Amino acid sequence: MTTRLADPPFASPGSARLRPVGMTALALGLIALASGSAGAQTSDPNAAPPPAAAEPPATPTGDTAGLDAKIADVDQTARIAVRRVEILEEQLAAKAKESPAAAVTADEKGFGLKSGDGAYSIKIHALIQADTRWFLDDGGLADRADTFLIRRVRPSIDGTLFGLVDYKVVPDFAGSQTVLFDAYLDAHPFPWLRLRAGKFKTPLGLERLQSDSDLVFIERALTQWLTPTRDVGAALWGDIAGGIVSYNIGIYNGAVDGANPDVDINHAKDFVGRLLIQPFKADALSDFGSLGLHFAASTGNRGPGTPTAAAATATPQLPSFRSGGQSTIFSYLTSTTDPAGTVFAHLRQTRINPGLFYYFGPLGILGEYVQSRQEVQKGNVTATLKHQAAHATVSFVIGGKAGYEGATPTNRLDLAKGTLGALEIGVRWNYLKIDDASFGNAADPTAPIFADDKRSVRKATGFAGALTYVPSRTVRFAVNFEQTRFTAGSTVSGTTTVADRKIENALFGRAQVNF
Amino acid sequence: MKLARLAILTTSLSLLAVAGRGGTPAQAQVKLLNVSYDPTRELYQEVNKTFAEKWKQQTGQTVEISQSHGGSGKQARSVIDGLEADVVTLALAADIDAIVEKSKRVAPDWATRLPNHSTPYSSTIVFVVRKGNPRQIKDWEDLVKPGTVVVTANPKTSGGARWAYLAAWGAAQQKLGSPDKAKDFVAKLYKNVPVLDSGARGSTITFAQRGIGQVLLAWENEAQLLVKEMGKDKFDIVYPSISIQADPPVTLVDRNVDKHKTRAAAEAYLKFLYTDEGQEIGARHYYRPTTAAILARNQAKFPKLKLFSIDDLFGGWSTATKTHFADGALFDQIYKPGS
Repeated sequence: MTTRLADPPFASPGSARLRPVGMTALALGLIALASGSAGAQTSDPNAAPPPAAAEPPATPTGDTAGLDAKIADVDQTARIAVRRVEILEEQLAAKAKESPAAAVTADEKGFGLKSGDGAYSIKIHALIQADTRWFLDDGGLADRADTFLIRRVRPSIDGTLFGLVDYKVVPDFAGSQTVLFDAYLDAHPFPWLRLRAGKFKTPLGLERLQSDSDLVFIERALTQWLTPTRDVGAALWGDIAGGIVSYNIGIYNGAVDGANPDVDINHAKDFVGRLLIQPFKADALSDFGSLGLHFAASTGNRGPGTPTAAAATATPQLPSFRSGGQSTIFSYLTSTTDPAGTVFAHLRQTRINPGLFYYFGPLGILGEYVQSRQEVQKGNVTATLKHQAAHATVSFVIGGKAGYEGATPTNRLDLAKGTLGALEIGVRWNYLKIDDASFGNAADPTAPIFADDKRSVRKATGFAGALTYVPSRTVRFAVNFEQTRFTAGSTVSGTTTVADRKIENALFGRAQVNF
Repeated sequence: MKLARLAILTTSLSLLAVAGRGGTPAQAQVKLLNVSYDPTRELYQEVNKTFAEKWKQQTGQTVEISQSHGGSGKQARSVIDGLEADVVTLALAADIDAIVEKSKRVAPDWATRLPNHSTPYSSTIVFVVRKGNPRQIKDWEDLVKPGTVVVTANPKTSGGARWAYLAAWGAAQQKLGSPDKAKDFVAKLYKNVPVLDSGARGSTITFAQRGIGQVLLAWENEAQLLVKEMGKDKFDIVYPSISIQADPPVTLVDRNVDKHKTRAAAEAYLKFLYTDEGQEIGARHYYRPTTAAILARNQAKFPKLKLFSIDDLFGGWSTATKTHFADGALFDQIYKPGS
């Protein structure tokens, strides 16, 4: 019990329940019972001592002396019995506190059921994002249609079993189709050693690892196209030294950049690792904010060797990339008629991904670089292409705190209390650079061509601003504007001369509910 | 040029961030939580009030001190389980050692950081009897007489009761001459205990408010407070010929004060207990001051009696705990609930 003012001396916390009527009735009943049992107690050598009178006996005479002593004995026995009941009740109350009953919870983090000891739980959540995209001067491009859309509809279930294993299942129903995003078990015998198995985010992509509900911008930066969305596999991970060091090392089927596969189509597997250092988690440095230094890498083969051209055409195992406005801006060559005209993945893909975040009060900075090296093949020709992307995002929260887990208002919207929530302002620079070798070599007509720079861009650079109103952790309303400039990706009108794809000026809006 | 703009932007945002956090390096208010044992409520109420005034004068900082009270062992368990105490002021050194061992929240050298093994006051175990002492209870041997009902708490959960148990054992061993005879004596004594409360304050209630028993084994300060609060016409205090010197220790909870940034205030709070003013407050609440001059000034409150220490007879808390209070140890052997 924690008190600011101490209890009155000798106050009994549990005594009020029994006194005065209940206790008197109980005492009278016990006196009646005890008067019959007192004699039995004295005949038992192992029994509790025959209670003697608490008060000095008066000096009665004759028969009253024996009677008074008898009453005093019975009174003591009754008091002892009542006190034992009181203590038992207090012990039961304390035990109930230590092992509370199962609880139903409903709060801004979801709805759930939890066993008294917390060993078993289930919680229901949902993320719903209703978006709109408007392209200012779409340049006649068909994939720049102004639209309202449901970006994410993700109900989810998570919880704990045996106090040892967490589980999570997240489907997505957006776009009128069902896609499984997460389905995994996470055994956590120790904070420093956990095993996760199933389908989940690989540890690649610092911004990718942020929850979809907590991003500064409506759409992630261009770096997202060089890391997989999800993959299926198993990972050992954990926190060391109170989270100052976190590691993650896993084996996965291997997913194409930006992809979300459910099964593997070859025998080869990807190995992915990550190290995250958060030095300011040390107690002595916690005043300096939250700094995270992230380094992740992956390597794996996309196939056991050169597949047949037909098979490769069916599943080329290569990504396409999109702009901030979600228009496709890069894709490898494919041909439905000529297998030798389709580019497909050939053996190894390696990614490296350094990054950092820093949050200090309302200020947030997050930046990263991704390099994806992929061996590709077209016909009998192979090459290793190195694509790169980076972004830097700075955010500032008015009326709240910035964090890797999203902006948190100091006080949620409550008109009665005059609190308004928080306003998050963000700016971002990001770019995507496609390896020049993808487009052949104008000086060398024999150089292989894996992508057509009349349709695919060589480079995209975007600048964006975000304004997000966060009335509470549950609800967000966001407006973003992003201008992306491209190198190549189009032709001069009426000719075959390569030209830059028209600048994309995209205006985004989002209403989000997340619990 | 671009870099210069970026630097200006970053600097401006950082300054805004500092401003947004309030920006002042020293906190204007500090909160401390003192997790203590049962009978110290009144003592720390006065200590907290006085210290807060002093601290405000010295530093300009407002300190708000919360108290938590319960059986010493249970309080230690709470701290081990995560109760974020800044300081613990417990009944037993063993309870602080348990925090060190099981949670590492307290530095292992805690006992040497403050004078007198980090014990600002001492106490002892005495008897409280009903007015006029109708059963003529004068010393330990009177407690084992047939028909005497003794009230004390459970030494498995209460620090005060643990001191009382060891006081009885030590007195018997000194008087009767052997540990075996002491064991028989203590077994007889606990046969005369019909109710075991979980804490010292609970056993005081059993005796004083519920009217159970003829003698209460109590901390000296608890006995004095009881007589003062309930009236001198109701109870007498009996000092046995020999008893134990009970040393309730205090310490910072290192990990918590570092987390809360309260080390300076918490250290000053504990050191205040050793000042003349702190010692006088202790004496007012019937804790024996460790400063000789303050003890001498208050000698009338503290009758002299022969005291032995836990180190003298039991080899320290670690040994005493294993021998007497661990599961299956001597107390479990001699006390069977309901017998």
